[in-house]
Amino acid sequence: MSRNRSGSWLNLGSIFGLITAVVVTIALYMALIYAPTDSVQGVSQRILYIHAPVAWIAYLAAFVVFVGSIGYLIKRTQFWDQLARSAAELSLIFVTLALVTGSLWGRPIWGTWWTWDARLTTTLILWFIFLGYFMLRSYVAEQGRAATYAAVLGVIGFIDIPIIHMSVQWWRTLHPEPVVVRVEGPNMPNEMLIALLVSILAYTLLFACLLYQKFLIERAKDQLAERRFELVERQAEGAAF
Amino acid sequence: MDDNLMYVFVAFLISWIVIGGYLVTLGRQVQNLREEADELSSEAISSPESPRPTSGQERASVDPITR
Repeated sequence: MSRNRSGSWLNLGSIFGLITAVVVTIALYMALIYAPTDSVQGVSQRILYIHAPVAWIAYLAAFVVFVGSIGYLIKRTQFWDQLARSAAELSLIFVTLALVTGSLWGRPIWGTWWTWDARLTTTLILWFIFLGYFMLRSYVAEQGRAATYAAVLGVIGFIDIPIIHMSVQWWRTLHPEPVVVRVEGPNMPNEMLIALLVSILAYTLLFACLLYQKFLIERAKDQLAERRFELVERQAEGAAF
Repeated sequence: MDDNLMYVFVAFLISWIVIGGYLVTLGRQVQNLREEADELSSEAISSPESPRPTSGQERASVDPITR
């Protein structure tokens, strides 16, 4: 164990990371060993314990992008843009994972890797929106304009979330309807429900850790850029005299 | 072995490779930022037109680990 730059052995981030690692380990144990094997789908149903949490994190990250984007459009401060772009990166990663794990679950159950089903298609649209978010940021040279355009796209991305969630009820689809978030209450055995909830908690903690680290990195990048600009200006002023 | 077990294994493996890879990327970004902060700090010190920063002040304000 080494000291960090602030001189303490462990900072708050390290403790939070350690707690997350423990909860993630418990979640993996519950998903792969504790939870009973489904009598209909067999062992492939265990993909639920990774697929549902990563899909939830994709939603949550898109919500953070939405909050950051609205905040930026109203306040025009770097904080909100840093928050939105940090969460957007995580949203893109977790939407990708939701699509990949869903495909790996669909193959043994539906007999196909992919189908143009309402839930899958609307999720793919969300993936393209966040891909576009980063393309937009890299193509627009002026930082303020890039942040504004990206914020608008971030808001549009979040509008897709309720459409994705309701797609299984609005359209005829292969994807099953929600089994946990239902008016009648969860529709699964207790052991499965506990394993799923622990997995959701574990990935939520992981998301919080990653978002916090990414946000600090984005903030430091902006601070460095500002200081470099100030230094260049001072040097130019010095050269002029 | 249940054939479907392979799908479960691959789903978990891919997810954790991606998450692990992302963690490594974040670590590299922090390292690069520290190097850039050090470089900027030494540039600021060597520049005759700029005031000399107090010890660690320049880097501390941009170091993502120092809070």
